[in-house]
Amino acid sequence: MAGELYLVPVVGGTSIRDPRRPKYLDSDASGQGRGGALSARYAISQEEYGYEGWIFVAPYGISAADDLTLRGFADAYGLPTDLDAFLTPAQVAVVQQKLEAINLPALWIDTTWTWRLALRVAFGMVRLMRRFHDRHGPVKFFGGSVTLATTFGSLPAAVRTNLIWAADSLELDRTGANAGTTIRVLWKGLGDQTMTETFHLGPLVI
Amino acid sequence: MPPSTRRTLFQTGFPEANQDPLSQGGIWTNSYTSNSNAAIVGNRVRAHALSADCTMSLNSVGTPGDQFVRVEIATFGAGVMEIHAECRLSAGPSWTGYLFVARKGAAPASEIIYMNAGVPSSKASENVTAWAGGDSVSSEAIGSSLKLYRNDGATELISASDSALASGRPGLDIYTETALANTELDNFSFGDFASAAVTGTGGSGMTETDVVAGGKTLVITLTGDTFLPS
Repeated sequence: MAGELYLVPVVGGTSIRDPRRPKYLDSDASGQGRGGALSARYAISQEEYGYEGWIFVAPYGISAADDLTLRGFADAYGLPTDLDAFLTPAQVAVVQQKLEAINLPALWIDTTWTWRLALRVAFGMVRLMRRFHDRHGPVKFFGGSVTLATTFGSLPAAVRTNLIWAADSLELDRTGANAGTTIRVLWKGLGDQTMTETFHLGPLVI
Repeated sequence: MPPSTRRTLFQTGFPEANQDPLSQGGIWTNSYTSNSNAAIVGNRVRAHALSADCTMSLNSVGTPGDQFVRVEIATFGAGVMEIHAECRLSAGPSWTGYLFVARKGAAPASEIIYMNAGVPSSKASENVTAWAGGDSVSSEAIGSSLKLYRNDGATELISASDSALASGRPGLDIYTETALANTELDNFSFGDFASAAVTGTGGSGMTETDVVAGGKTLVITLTGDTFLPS
């Protein structure tokens, strides 16, 4: 199979012998990997949402059987292969629940969106977060007092500085944001700017 | 050989008498508070301590962003062990860089890891290769392309793409759990990459600067020219 995309939890991170990696994908049913879940090991491309504990993964050539296995896990979410299809009302509900639960703003998603365009906006937010952590370090952004409703101006100074650096280094227009802008609105505004951008994730062109 | 055109900027076979920590006149640094240091023993490099990442970076060489690191595994004995060829390392005190791992005794056998201030994220791995003494481990970081090679193969074992780090120091890492003597490396080299050869006809406007400052590799093929004695 080709073109499969999944959202799965991140496991590990305690040492080089146990690095952060996507759950289920870094595995080998023979027992030689770090934990068996699928019938084979697959080369993967991945896009992690900062250090929030979730990662988009695109495996190369995953078998139909392993695709079914992966989609069957309660904490894994497999996206449709046809990214140009519009989301159905049921899919909108599931996607909103999944993404909001990991602090990826998603209430803007409705049935007028195709999977491809929605993913581009979401990946814009994911990429912003990754760039932010390249400068800010490996700490969770959300949690404690920071939520999607937190305003930019109430974030610690170092966080604000590094967010600005991340947005500028990605050449995103942040002129519409101010101290009173919530993270939810800020993320969406920056993510919208990548709606016309093509993302490559391993075998996938989004 | 790998398809890239490697240009060695530094190499050593660790000819000095035993040193702990590895220093070679102060060009190596163990600057990460979370890690131990490596040592020269019998003209090879060993870990200073068991079950600790013994990491050293080169501190006194020019560090081009696009870089390769190559080490040879001198000994890979019994137990769990790793040898890394590391690229784009931070100066410390927190450990950041790209780690290219050859591992024995645990899975996966080969791995590319992005280390962000001590928090490792796996970027690619495979679990087929049986690393052994005599193998070479080499890494390449070219732009966002990261590749791990075994024995200077024409194709990489594994590859990944990551744009978090654009520059930094080259370095090495040894990890061993059973006995220090079970894991040794030798013949470290580091460098950058010559630009691809330019083929074509040089015009009268071509200058030395085009070749030297531009970092180009000049390949001259003479066909039917008139040679003037100097």
